[in-house]
Amino acid sequence: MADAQVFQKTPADKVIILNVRAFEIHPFLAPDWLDLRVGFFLSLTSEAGNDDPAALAETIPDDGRGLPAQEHYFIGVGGDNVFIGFSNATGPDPTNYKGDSMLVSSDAGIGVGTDFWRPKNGDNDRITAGIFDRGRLIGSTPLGLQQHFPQNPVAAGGYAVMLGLQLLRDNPSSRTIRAMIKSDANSADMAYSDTPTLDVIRTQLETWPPSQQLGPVTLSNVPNRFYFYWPFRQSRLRIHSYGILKAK
Amino acid sequence: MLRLLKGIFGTVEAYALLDFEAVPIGDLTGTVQLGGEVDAGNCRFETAQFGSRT
Repeated sequence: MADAQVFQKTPADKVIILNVRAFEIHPFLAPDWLDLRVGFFLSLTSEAGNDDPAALAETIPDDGRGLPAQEHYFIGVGGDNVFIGFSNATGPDPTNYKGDSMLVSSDAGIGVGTDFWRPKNGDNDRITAGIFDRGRLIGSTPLGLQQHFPQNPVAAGGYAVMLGLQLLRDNPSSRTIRAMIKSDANSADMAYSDTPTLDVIRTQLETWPPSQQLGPVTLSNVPNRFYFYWPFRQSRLRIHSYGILKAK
Repeated sequence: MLRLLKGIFGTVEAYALLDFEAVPIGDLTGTVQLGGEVDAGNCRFETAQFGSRT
């Protein structure tokens, strides 16, 4: 069985749809960076339809013993044993992360609504991003980093959401990294678009928005790959485009 | 497109951007060279890998 498929969403937008519980890892080269910015346009569709963002709510229940890592979503960058980005995993036990893994219908923040789908941890709405090393969540998890995938594309302002990360370090050999994630009123969403093109990513990455900081933390390895994984069975992750920009 | 982006970026040292317009419609499994990348400087994408969790 295939792990993903390529689908023509619009004449100008061909997307990769990860099959249920499939992942994409895409290594990149960006040597000696001090300020590395990454961004990706994403959306959700149903398990059965390639362009169907309806009825995706789902809960993967934690019976109190925690859930393994593969029951949580991971969208961001990684390296050997390292992940930085968006996730509803908590750690610190590397094999059992606490809380239900959920996808809920939401407004553009952390309220009830029908315009967006919002992944979350059942224990706490704030658990939506982090830095992980050897399976353990390290550093603090700031408030206000929730991601919202369009459920009603017209109301959302587009069928795809752009998310991103800015990685900073003080010298090009350092493994001590801090990550900046756009934050505004319980939202890390950088843009919504019906034209999730490279030009839009480029524009968004050039001027980094006001952000919350994760870290600094000293990692066992420096991230060198994109990592996309979606754990739910009623929905699939669509990847429209992505990019890296070495600003320094 | 590449020349246009290089001109727009100006002071930016390096970038790599990828959409999937060059990827044929169909299934993807395992190791895949996606193609269609736009890059400049010393940033590049390598070969993508697809897989699944149980």
